Amino acid sequence: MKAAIEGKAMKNIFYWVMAASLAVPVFALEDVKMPVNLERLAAHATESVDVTLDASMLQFASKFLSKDDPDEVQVKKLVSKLKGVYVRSFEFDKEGQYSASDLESVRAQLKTPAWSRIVGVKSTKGENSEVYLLKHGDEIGGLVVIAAEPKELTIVHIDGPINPEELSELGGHMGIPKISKDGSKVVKSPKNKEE
Amino acid sequence: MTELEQQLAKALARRDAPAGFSDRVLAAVQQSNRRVPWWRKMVPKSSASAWRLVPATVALVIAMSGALYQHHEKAEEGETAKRQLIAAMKIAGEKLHTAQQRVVEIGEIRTNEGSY
Repeated sequence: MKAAIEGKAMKNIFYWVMAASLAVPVFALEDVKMPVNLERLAAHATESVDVTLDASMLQFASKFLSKDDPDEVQVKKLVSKLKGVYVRSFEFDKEGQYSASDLESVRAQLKTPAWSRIVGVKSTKGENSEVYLLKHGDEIGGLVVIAAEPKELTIVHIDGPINPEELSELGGHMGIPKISKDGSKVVKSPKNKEE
Repeated sequence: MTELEQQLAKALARRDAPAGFSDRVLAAVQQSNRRVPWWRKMVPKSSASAWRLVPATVALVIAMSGALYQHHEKAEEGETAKRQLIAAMKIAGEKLHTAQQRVVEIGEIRTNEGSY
């Protein structure tokens, strides 16, 4: 009788361990970590931006956003559901300050079924743009942008749900010109008009 | 009984108070109590008691200064986080815009090539 109870308990423990071991890689597939090797690029950069804002910091920062400034209202709306915003951006005074291998560890993390590359542009001038989306069914659960230019390298990771409308609303705000829906015209934001 | 004694007896004779006298006295007492400000009741009457309040006052001032400093620090941190957030969203928006623009440009080139 005692052996039967112990056997049942062991079985339960085994199932829980199995479930946990399966769950961990699923989360790990979606998780994107900024590579540590990027930090050394800051030493060669003329300008570098390092932003790491997790969910609690995003909520904290959003409390300080103005309710009157339309740009800040837009940002507040956008970050309300986000779990993190991570940016590494480097500007160099000459070419060849970073190598393709510096980006490999980021790309490797995005080569999982959870992530899909929606934009991959390579130009002969060496201006490359990549946009990756993390899909949770019909919803977008995250976004990674890799912009690699000869003298500039930027990696943006937005962790959390963003719907396509909100995503496109990033353009046209904060002085960023907005591309019209037909894609042919560039509509300047009100801020740009003032300038 | 002499005339003087008679006058004294008349002057000191027991008489009832006029109507409403006790009410007026009680109202006057309450009025005088109300006039004393609350803080005056807290101020010790002797200097020895006043000296006893000094450490408590110093502690209160230190605690208030600490709270004000913490509030200031928190506000500074918040402003920094806000600036970082706006910078991050600006960079994200710019890079997305650039990628979008490049896709549009490629589409235009392909359309033009197809039309020739």
